[in-house]
Amino acid sequence: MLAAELKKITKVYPGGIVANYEVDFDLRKGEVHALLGENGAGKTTLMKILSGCLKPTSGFIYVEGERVEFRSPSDALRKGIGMVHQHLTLIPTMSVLENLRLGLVGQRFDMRRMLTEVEDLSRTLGFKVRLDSPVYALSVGERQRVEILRLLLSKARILIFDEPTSMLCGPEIDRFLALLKSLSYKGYSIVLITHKIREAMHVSDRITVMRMGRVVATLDKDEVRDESYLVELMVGERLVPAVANARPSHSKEALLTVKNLVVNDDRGLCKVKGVSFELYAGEVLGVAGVEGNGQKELVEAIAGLRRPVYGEIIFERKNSYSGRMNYIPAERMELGVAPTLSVAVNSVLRRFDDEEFVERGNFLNFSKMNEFAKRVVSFMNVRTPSLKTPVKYLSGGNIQKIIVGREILTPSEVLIAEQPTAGLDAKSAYQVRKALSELASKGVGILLVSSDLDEILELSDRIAVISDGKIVKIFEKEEADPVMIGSYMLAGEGLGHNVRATVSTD
Amino acid sequence: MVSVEIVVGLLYSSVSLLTPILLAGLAELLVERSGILNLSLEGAMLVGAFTAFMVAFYTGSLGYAMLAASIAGVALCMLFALLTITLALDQMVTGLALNLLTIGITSYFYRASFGWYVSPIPPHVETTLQPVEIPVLSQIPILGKVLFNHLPHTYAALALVFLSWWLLFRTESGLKIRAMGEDPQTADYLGINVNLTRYALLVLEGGIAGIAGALLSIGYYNMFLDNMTQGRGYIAIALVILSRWNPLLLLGAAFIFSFIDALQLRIQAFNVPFLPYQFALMLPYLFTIVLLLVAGRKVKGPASLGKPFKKSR
Amino acid sequence: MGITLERRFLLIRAALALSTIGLAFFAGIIIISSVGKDPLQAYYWLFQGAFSPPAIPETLIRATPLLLISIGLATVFKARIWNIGAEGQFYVGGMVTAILSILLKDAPPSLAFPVIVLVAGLGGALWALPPAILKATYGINEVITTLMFNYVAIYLVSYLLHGPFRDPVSMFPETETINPALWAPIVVQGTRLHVGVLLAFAVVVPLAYFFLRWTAFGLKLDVLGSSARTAQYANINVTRLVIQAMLISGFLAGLAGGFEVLGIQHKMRLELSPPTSPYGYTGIAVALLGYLNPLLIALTSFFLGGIINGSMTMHRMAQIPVGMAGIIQALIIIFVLASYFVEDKLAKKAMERLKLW
Repeated sequence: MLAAELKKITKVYPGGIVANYEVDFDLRKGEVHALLGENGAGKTTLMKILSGCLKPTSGFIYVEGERVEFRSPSDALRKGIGMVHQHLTLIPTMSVLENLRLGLVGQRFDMRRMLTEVEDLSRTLGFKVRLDSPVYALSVGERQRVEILRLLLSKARILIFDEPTSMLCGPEIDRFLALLKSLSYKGYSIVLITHKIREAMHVSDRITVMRMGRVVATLDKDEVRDESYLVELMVGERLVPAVANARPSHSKEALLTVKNLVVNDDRGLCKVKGVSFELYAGEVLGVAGVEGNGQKELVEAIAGLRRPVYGEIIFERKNSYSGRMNYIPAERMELGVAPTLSVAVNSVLRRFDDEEFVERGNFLNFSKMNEFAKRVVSFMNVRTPSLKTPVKYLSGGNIQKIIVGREILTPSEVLIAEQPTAGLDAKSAYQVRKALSELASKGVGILLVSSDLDEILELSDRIAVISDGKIVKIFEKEEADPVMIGSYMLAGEGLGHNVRATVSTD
Repeated sequence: MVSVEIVVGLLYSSVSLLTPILLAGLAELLVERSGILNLSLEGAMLVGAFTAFMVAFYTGSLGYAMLAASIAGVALCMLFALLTITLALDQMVTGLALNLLTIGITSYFYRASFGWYVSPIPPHVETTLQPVEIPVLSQIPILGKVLFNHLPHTYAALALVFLSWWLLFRTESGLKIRAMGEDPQTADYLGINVNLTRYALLVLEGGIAGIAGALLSIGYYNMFLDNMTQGRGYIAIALVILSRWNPLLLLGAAFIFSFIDALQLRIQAFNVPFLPYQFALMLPYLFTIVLLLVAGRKVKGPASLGKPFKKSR
Repeated sequence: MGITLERRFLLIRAALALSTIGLAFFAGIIIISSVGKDPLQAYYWLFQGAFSPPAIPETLIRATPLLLISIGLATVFKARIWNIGAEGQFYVGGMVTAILSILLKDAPPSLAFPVIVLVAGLGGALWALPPAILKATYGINEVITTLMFNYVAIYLVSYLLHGPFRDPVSMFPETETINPALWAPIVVQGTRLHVGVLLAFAVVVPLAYFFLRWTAFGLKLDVLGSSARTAQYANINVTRLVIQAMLISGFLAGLAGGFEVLGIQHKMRLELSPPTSPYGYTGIAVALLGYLNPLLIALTSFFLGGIINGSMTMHRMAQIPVGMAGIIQALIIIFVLASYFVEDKLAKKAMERLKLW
């Protein structure tokens, strides 16, 4: 019996990009169905269509054999389809209870009944949530569980998860996958969007592989002979090579020294709790950790965007390069670019004090600016009608390319790279990784903050694991091992859970 | 020695002057909670004052005057909604422009009706709104005099304080309003009609602000003067900031302000020799700035306040 | 390809600006007809009073304070700092000028005149400083504070004109007439065109154009206006920039007030600004209609200055209330804003057609 079925789904985005082409997909009742593919293969688009977030350009959707058309996510939810996105849809300033309540707007509502249901569900699924706690005080894993709870409360029978483990790690991942299994035993039908083969093999009953907007194969798990077969299906012939990371051992000359740094977030919660490290010339220091463990605040403090509560940041301007600290921020639109200004201006955004573009402290040299902008555009293959075009009219990927290109091409001593390849196509991402590696070879110190552990392992000379605002361990490249790193990433998280759990029982 | 009479009188007029600013502030508070910063509150009060006066002057009916004032306020706020919600224009500049528009329009039509040279006694209405004495309660010594002999609108405004607190924090609509003020994208995702709700709140604000303006022209005075709101709408917005978007605190902030206003009027009336009346007139404005400086520093409002929301497909 | 796209957008912008003005006048027709007057006749007098050859010098005189004020406003508006306190800054500039002219009436004019002009500007800048500091350091909404400061300024001036500086022989609250030796020199004989008009159009406009377009200062304002967080990221000292921009804005408004006293009124009066279209508020329309570009603002200030004068002629000859000018200005602002919306839509369409994904 099919829970849902998609037939001949085609999705063309306004820019003309074809995200899905004549895709067929079906979901059986009570199964876990993995939707496997590389970034940009069209998995998320397909599931956004099933969950009512996007309208297909053509094609049909059937739920329990009945043809349906969704105009909004809440339409789909009424038919029992709910999706947990990568960006959670909770409101941080509101309490867990209020957020749960928000999932039920427009329905007959009985507070007592909801509380009983929450209690029942939490017990059967092994959740512990404090209903009156504001969401911003929860860990990412807890938030995810609140989001799931909300879908279950609104009677969703089909649950779609978009890369749910990308913000989790180690034991938390296992715990989550076990939860998926138990949900499926209870009769929920589950789609798991992922690019991790092991995860798909571990938990799913069937696997559908997508590549470049099309379904390549749908297999029962038992049909899969070995994992390399799935790899082949996923990537076809086009394999992106790993960046050669054979730098001579870096010097011990510290470019950047951070001592006992304590930083608060916007709400005054302490997010960085005494961090110390040194960044050496010519190395890539990777910072690994679950999102929300203080990376953002740490980086902002180092970049001078946030005032630390305590501690020191020593950045010695050596003469090797221009003595700059460059910074690729994770937040593109509101921080990395001035959206209404031109590609040219955005290419020199952080250099208004630079003699090269601003003569005698105040007079702009437009021809030099344009020259540099041209270099950025050609280096990253930015697609723009002209250098004068306001960047807000470019696509997200092209904006990202401008930021990365600018920060890489501007000579620097230290480069902080926060999620530098997020949102880029495979080819550009490879080029960025290569460029970062080359910069390090030339003596630049690079602080790489990424939620993509593979990227960190590929590029870093040393890997600092951050957990609950503290650096719990720094690995040398040779001793780095994903499983070990994972368990350190959770050191602080686990502690947090225990504390909260004890509080919630009284 | 300060006599009890003077203090009672001062408190009485504080409560009385509280009404328009509190009404306007409450309406703006609800709108801001949904993420819209509506500077044209000032303009809505001004058209309310003007319309109420005109209708009262020509028909003699205060009821019609009030009704017309709120309709005029609604019309202006609908225009604001059209420009800032549907066309997603900058809320700050749009609000400013609409205020300039209302100053021009009210002055134009006032003069078109009564001529350029307004005689020493400007046209005025014969009857104004009258206070309603609440039986029994008004007999309580001191408190009765201060609290229970006011315009019906004063009682309504006080009730509205609690009503809007209840709406915001105890009802589903309030939950929706607060959610869209924090994150309209998420609210939209959860099936809340953000734009429709914001339109509805602006209609409410227009109606209330129109009535608040009407109180000025046919409640406290009996005439209309150019730009007679004198920045009261902007002050109401400042008080909303001070209240940290909480109706109960707004009541406090508005009372402090109206107390200063009442004090200022006393100073003018008593003609204190060392304090020229212009300084008295300045007081409410200076006081608003001081209040903002003391309590309005780096106050965090609803996260999406003032940002245009574009629905994504 | 690129160049044609940009050219096309310049043309679209020009067309939008013109249709904005057209729409405002069309709305004016409705408003005039609604009180039973003949709009064509009214507009005839409007243009006679505004742009007929004999009216041109007076229009330039009206345009001068508008020009100075709106160039200052363009400076802050670029950074999306909404200073609506130009009116108060203008009055403070005027008051300071009158006081200083009375105090320095026996000083050598060639020395006193530039000092007075400078101090007028400084007075305006000083009046803009508290809201600037509150905005820059505490994030307090500048619209509210600058507006509050307008009322404070007007009442302060009113006090000074009724009290300490009142001309005892005048019936009105105004200062005595200042020493003619200190009046701003007339540059075209037979008109009231004074040196301030020349300074505004021939010096301030090109200078402002250069500074806003060719310097890091102007670019920083653009970045701040585009996104406040980005400005911080771009290593811009936002606090200092906000204060600098507000000071410039206040200085120019104060300067406008100074020249209005030295060149036109020759005394400080309560109605230094025309009551139905105060310069400080009209300047907002001038700056926005001029797309915050000083060269265009020179044109739009002339245009709106003409509307102010024309509306007075229209009132005299056709009994249309003067408030008409205010309505047209506000409508222009609204239509300019709406035209931003249209422009954005068109740009997005054009980009979609280019298929750059």
